[in-house]
Amino acid sequence: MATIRLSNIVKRFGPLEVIKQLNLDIKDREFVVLLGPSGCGKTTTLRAIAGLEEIDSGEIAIDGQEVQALPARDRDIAFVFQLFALYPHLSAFDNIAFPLKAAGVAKNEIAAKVKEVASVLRIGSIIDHMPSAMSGGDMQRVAMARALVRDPKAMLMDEPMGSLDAKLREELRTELKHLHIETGSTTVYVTHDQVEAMSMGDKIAVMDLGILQQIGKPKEVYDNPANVFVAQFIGSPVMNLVDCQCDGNGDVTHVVIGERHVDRFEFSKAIYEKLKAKDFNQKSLAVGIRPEAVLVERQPTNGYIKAEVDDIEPLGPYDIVDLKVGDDVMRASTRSRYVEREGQEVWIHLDENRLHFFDTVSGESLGI
Amino acid sequence: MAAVVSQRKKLANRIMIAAVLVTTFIMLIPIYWIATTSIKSFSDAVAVPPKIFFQPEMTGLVKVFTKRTQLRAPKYKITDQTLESLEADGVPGDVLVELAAVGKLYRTESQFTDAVNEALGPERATDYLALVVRYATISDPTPEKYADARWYEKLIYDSGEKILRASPYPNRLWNSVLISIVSTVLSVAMGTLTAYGFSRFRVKGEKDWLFFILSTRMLPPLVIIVPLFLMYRAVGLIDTHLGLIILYTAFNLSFSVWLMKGFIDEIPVEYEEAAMIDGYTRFEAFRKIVIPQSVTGMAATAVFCFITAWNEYAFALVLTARRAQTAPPFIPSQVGSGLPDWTAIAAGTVLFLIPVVIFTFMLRNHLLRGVTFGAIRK
Repeated sequence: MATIRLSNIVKRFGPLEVIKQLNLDIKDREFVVLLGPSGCGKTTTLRAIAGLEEIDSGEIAIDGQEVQALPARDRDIAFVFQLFALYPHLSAFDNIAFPLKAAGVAKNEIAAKVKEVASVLRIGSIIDHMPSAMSGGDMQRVAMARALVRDPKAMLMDEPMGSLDAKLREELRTELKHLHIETGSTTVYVTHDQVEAMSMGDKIAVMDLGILQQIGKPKEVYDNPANVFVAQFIGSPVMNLVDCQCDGNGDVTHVVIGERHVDRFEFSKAIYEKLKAKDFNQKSLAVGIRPEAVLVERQPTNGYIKAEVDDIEPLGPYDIVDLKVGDDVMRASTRSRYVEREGQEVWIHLDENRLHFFDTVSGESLGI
Repeated sequence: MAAVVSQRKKLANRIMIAAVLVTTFIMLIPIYWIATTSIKSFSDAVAVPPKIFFQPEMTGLVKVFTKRTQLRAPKYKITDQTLESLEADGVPGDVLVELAAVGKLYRTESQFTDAVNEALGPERATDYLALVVRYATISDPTPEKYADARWYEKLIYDSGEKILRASPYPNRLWNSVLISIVSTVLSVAMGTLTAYGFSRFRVKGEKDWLFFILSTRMLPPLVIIVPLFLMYRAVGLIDTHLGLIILYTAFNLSFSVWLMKGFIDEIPVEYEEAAMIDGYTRFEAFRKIVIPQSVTGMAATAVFCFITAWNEYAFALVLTARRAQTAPPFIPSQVGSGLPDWTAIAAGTVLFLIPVVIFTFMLRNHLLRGVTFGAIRK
């Protein structure tokens, strides 16, 4: 197992720069998830680490050794592909044994190693099956086994669950997490699914437009998004982001949203002080609030403002409610059936401890 | 409603089956025609209207393996043997003496009878003429020779010819087999490698190159055959196996590259990437992953290349004469003297069809999948 360090990676496809000056440090035994929308450069980054793409400039070091000039086969890493890429003309056993054969491992040793990794992944019963006779989950496990069998320096996974159904993904997510704890392999995992990222990653690296937007523990990325993109990419439903104005008259902070300047939330003075310290720009200020931090009351409540229910999405354990406040729509998550019907009037407030402020021009969080 | 639909479907299905049967039937007619002609007698083969029912015989088949010449017409001469036979049949001595004077060799029956008439006088001549002609006839072959002949020699005698020597047809077939197989192996191997390159690497001007490769196929052989002949003569490739192998390989290569590119494009690149990460070089990945994956395509391509090389006529006709001549130009060369001998040509053609049928049959599973598989491009 090993560390991976990317420094100033640049990758172009023709005139298009798909990775722009990427820096990323992955510690030994760490599980890092590269998260981002399609086309953000996350898969290209992974392929660059693997040696499947040449980079235009920058350095890739695995275990302190620069590898950007080495071909894939000399980097000693394993790769799990989205569609598993099991060799269709080989049985599960031969698929798993394939990398060992390349290394010239003795036959009986191959058999022993394959057996061992097969038992870890519980695929002993299908070891003689051909890929065409396997279920998606089995194929995924065999692909994992093939990656693990030769004890690589690092495991790279490119949306390994992208083609599986939701239930199986949930199952495999847990399995993969346990596997990582057991084997302790340095893992880079690419996905566009934030649930996978949040649940499995030691760290999440959010990418967009070839730029690393933020890297941190799942909780950090969720609670303190570095910019508008991260705020809106992580979390479901997405964080509400509403243009606002803020003033600190007297000993309270007023956050005014909408064109009419009548919908005004009241918070403690500390908010204004913090904003002022950040030298905020009144004209490009937006307030961000996660749906679960929007407080909803059915009765008029002091300090709350009136809103109209536009739409209700019942999801079972909780409901997602679209609320019209003036011209703006905010989404709140409420207890199941707390809000009864569309068109209903409710009163809302925002949880002061979970407010985020962004500059809409730069997109950066003001870090409140 | 559902019943109506399924009825209609059934009907459509039946019409399809009928259409397939009719098409098959029509396509089999020439095969049937050639196959039956090869086992007809010459007179049956050229009969008008064509004969459906006939006595099958092997003459055509024997002819294609032999060089023959026409039998000579019978000649007439009174020899000592003739006189002995006549005597044994009770011809009086004076007649024999006068007949012995007719010693010359006659080339036609009328000249001979005239001579006999003159020697014997009209009266005696009428009594003995038939007998004399019978014993004086020297036929080709002689009855003894005919009796000693093997079955195939008899067949040829019966059709008015005699065998001079074996024909070079087996050698021509062998040339065809050798040249077709070697050129097929070469064009599939080179085509697969080239197609792999085009499929997996960004080649500058890829489309132009591919079009250029295809364009080598656009001129009909006859257009380039004269310059080709001159070039081949200059480098001494006329009438050599190597000459035809090079030509057929080049000719089939464009086809092979295009077909194989279609197949290799269909193989996900991830398989090789996985292999390269698993510690293999690109060439090992090609050998262990791409080749097994494209066997179907290679088989289909091989069948097409083999058939093209096997059937090629124009180049073989012009560029070979004896040593390296293939079967296609040889078979019609049976049209030697006199009437074209359709039975021999048909027999040669039937034998010529067999290897290609066997080859295609062996690869039939790949072929059916291959043809549909390669047809779908991304």
